[in-house]
Amino acid sequence: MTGEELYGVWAPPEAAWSAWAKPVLFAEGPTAAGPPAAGPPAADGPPGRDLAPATDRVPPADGETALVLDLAADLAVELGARLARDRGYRPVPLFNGCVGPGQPMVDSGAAARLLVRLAPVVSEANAALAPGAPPAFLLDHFRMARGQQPRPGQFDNRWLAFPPDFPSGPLLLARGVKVVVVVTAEPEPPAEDLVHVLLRWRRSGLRLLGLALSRPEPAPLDPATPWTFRRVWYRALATLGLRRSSVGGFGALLPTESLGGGHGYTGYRGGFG
Amino acid sequence: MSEDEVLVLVLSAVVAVVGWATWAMGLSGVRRTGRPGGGLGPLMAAPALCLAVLVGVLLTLAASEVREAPEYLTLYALLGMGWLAVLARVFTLLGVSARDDVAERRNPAAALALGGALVGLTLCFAGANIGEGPGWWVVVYSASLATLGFFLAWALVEWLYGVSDVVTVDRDGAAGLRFGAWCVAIGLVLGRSVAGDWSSAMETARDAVRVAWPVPLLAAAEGVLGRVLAPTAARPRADLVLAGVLPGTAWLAAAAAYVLLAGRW
Repeated sequence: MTGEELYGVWAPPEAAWSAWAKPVLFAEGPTAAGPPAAGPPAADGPPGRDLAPATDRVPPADGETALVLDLAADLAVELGARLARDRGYRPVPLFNGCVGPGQPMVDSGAAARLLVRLAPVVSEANAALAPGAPPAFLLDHFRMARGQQPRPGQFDNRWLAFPPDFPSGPLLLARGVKVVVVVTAEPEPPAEDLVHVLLRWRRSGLRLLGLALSRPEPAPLDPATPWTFRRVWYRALATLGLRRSSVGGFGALLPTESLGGGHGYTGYRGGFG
Repeated sequence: MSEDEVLVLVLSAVVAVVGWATWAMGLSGVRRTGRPGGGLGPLMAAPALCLAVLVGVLLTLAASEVREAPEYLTLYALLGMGWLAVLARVFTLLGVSARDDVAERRNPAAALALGGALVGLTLCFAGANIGEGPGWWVVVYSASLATLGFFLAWALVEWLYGVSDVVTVDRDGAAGLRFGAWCVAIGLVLGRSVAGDWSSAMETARDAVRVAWPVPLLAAAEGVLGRVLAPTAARPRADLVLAGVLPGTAWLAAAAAYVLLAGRW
């Protein structure tokens, strides 16, 4: 399977939300992160955790609820595939950092391998999913590498999510979505980059809920407004210090010397096709 | 050519070539996995269109010394393209990014807005070349006035209806088209406002303010229209013809009519 074909499984052209799916992990090629682990291609098989309780806690895909899975990247992919198969949500991968060589700051490899491994599950689910099935946006909770600072020689693939990475509030409402549930592992306030998205949605009239996998019920989400909210220069300022990849998304090797700039990652293992 | 003109020529050539080469490479290097189109092709062609517009103005309306001397034509064409290459980076600070929104997100609304903005800024610079003047510094001065007016007007529109969000988050093609046309329209008026024979810096600034009076009106009109046509749950994206083509044509027609009525500088 080529990267293009894999992308077509996770973001089929007929699906209503595919325009928002990020191609970065797919463009690197399905083998960029190494071969997928052996085992049955099922969302609940190894190396999957027991995601049944988490899946059951997510509201049913009644068309009025959209999800944002802000979890460890591999968990987000697993849960996304399972929600596609068992609950009728359309997983929309928004991972925007390259896998990269060596020791990357953000481990995208596990998620990249799971995108390959779980492709048959999602492909099968696609047959049953309506084109307008409600979305489950997949984010890597550790996209900013837990606040670590980059070191010389490291592959800096930290990234942020921005409002243009998601459908607008009016569009979600127009497609019947009324509630957005942010799913996290533990109860905690959403990351600041996500707050910019959530506040726009709330202003449009969407209801926000937070669902921690460690808790039984979702709770109302009321993020505080950051002072940079709706400032035109916010995106330019927020990405200062992050490294762009020359093939799209984020990721570049940092120079080993103390002087000189990093260079954008150009992919390895041949890319897609 | 004098020494300072040679220096400006060389610096402009470096900035223009490096600036546009990195701009184009940044856009074309992004992989297109599963996502063709999005207006990237037309946006990549926009700098060539801008160069054609600039050279056309230089060949017909610039000072006689420029029109008749290839080295001066080259100087002002490169100065203009270098000017534009620098300003193309400013759009990101205004909330619309060629790389992020067009190349990566494949958002045609952003391509339309940015394409229009590039042409509008070209007209600002081209206008500064119209008429007789003592040298390149008066072109830079006049172009600075027009460019300042351009970005102030953009800021007003942003304040009135948040055009950057409508274009990048709502991905409203009609808004992108209308705003792109609006940028061209105000570029036309601002370019005209700094056109003419040079007398003094103060006189040029006075003329610019006197002639550019329709720009705030156009900004207010675009702002009000943007608010009225803002995406809603009932209409998440506006009708391309009614909210894009028609008002965009109206902005262009109004600006062209004003420039024609204003007559020669």
